[in-house]
Amino acid sequence: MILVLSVGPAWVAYGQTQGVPTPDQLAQIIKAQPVVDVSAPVTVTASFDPPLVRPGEKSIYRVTFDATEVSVQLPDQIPAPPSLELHRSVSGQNMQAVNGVPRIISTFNYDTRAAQPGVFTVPQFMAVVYDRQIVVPAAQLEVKAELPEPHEPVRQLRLQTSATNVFVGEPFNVSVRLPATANHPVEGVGQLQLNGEGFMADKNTVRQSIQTVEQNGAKAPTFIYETSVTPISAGLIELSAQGFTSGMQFGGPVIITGQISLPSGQPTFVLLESEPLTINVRPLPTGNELPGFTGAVGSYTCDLPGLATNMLKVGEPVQLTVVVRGPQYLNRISPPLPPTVEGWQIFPAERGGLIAGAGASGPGAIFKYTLIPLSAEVRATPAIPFSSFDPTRAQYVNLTIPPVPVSVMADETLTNADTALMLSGNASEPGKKPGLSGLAKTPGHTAGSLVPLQLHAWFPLIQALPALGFCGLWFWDRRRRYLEQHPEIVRRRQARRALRREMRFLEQAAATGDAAGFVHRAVSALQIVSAPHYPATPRALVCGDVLQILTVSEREGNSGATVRHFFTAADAAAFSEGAGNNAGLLAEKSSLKEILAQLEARL
Amino acid sequence: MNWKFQSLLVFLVVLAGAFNGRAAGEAAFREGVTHYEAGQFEPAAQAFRKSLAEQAAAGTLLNLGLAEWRRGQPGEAILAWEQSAWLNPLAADAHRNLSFARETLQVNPLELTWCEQTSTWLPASWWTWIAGGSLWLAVAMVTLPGFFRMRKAGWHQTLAALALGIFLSSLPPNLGVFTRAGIGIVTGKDATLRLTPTQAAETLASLPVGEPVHRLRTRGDYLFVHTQYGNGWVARRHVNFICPK
Repeated sequence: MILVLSVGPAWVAYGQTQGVPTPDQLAQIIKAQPVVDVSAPVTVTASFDPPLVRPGEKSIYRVTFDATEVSVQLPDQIPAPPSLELHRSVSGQNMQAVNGVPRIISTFNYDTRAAQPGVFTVPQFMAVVYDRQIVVPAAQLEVKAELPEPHEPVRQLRLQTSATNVFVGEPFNVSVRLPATANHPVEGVGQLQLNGEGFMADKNTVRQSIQTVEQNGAKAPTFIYETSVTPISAGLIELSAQGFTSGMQFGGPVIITGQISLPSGQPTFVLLESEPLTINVRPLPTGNELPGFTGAVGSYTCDLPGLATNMLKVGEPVQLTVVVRGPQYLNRISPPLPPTVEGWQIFPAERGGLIAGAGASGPGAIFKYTLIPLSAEVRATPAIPFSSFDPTRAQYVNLTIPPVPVSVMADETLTNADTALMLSGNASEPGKKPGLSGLAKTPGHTAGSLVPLQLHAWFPLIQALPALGFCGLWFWDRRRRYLEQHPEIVRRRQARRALRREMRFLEQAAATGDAAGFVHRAVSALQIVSAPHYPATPRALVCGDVLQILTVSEREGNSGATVRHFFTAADAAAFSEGAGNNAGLLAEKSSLKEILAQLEARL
Repeated sequence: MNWKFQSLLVFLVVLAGAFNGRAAGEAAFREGVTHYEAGQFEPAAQAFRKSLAEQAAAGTLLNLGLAEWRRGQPGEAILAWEQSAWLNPLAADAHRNLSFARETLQVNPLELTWCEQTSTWLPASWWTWIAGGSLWLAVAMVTLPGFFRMRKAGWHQTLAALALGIFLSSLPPNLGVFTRAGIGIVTGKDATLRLTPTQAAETLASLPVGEPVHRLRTRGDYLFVHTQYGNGWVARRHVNFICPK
């Protein structure tokens, strides 16, 4: 009896792939996913499976965390007793419902063996989870020479391959099995993955089944996962499998053969692993490759090509159909590239799907080439070189697609220029590989670096310079407008500047004893410092104007007298024929400076 | 020695160094061409690389690609031609060689977004100059007449509007340059796309040499990339980027 059991979500998933979901639908799908609880406190378990073994027998030290796998940092060395061998093997995570809330559970497996009987305890130790220190509890393994029967050894996946000595590119079947035991009924394996380097697993050829299999003289229902693997590098490949037991939850359709009782109840997700299997991958022989080898490894044949029509016109496309037949792995074949020949324009082949075999002809893969005759002179389609490597004979097989006779008529609608243009794109120069350009004779367009300016760290700073310039201009303009509205500020500033200049000259005149110059500079300074108050030109101010700036007490006191003295002396020097002796005014320098300081403060 | 003389001396030394580097680069370029024409592709590739170390140039990269292709390094050749097209997208030779190489190796170019597509019209740095120049021209046309008490003329407004339009139009290509900087080429053999960033992770696909990948993020020695085979992790050593950082 064959029963095909399918699981609801799997069919739903297939249905979803039939149309491309819109962004809104995707958002709904994302929203519909259950919320994963990562906020609850992290719980940790540690145990040996099985906890009781014979000396030298394998047991698995399994640590599970209620957290994501990447968040867990275990110490490099687990503090195990020295006589207990303990090696890290596999790890993985899956989603489980804990009290109805989805939680991510991560599992880390360690292979353990003890040569001598005894009780071995892995003490509690610290692990880091979500950057927090978490205690991993202690676990105990008992090793006894005599064990009560029946004793069940460690539960493992069994890995089988259809070949262990293959060529690079030669696909082979891989089967991962989980048989039922006395303590564990048959169940599926989820998140199954093949570990190792140098091969490619084909997800499209996965088959899952449950059937009764005889092993070690006993029949047991067994879950079987089959797929194909293609080695992609030569050498010895270590292949192993891992997966979580998933009860009756299967990630896709399962074929059940025979009478097998399926247990019910919630599944227990346990991370299992297989012993590694070594595959010897040989490189393809070099030196005797045939033209048109595209990596097809297997026993293949090529049917005679079929042309849509043999009566063609120049410039009219025609389809050439080629069928490559073989027992399996036909979807892996890459069609040969069309050659460049004069008189034809040929486009690379497109896949036309697979055909089921019947009778003598096996299944095949269809490839369709589009050819355009560019000349009425051609009499047949060009041969397309193709070859494969047959691993059973360990040699390359010539599968060249033979020419097909055609009759090409000239098309008057095509001008000579059109034909020349079509030919130029396809013409091959002798001694030169078609399609490649010639050598550049000069270095050409240069740059400081391949990294463009906008990706340099200093680029934003360079952009800030014009901004700063414009900001400076803006401040300058604002200040200018302000000063235009307040000219008294400018006048006072000019007065202060002129006062400082006059004070310098004043000091020089005093130092040299130049009394006339001293008086002239003193009057000039008094005029300058008083002018902004009116406003007026400094030279137009007379003594009375300066005195008006002073307070009444200053005007009637020493300050007023000093001002009058200097103006009187200056007037005398300007309007009298004989200049008076002004040497006495030099002594009034300090009081003059005091007056000037007071007047400057009032600016 | 006053500061003016010192500044002049430093400027002359820098200028002499720049000219010296340029001359050395051109000498290495000529040496590469000579080797290539003699059929010695490996020394030619080395000479072109030496020239590139002195000065990045589109023609040198084009020749490096040809030398690498001739000596059976198609991934390196595609990378060099991509870099040549990155420096000077207006030159047709690099595009022609890329088309030929992809057809021969049966690898497809990465599908670019419209922003990235527009960024290929001009050299990457040109977009920066266009964006920066047009922005500040627009700002200048709006502000400078006011600052310098000039009568606001119609052509000021027209030029400002035109410059602003150019600036806005140049933003998508600049964004495209940023995202295209994450495009790399698979140059190492045995490159595999993996489900997780670990050596023992499940293989999703085998990436052929010359396959373009788009870096989405980095973790340790692995890059999370977008390829035509889907998204996955690939070892960093297998990928070289068009725009190295």
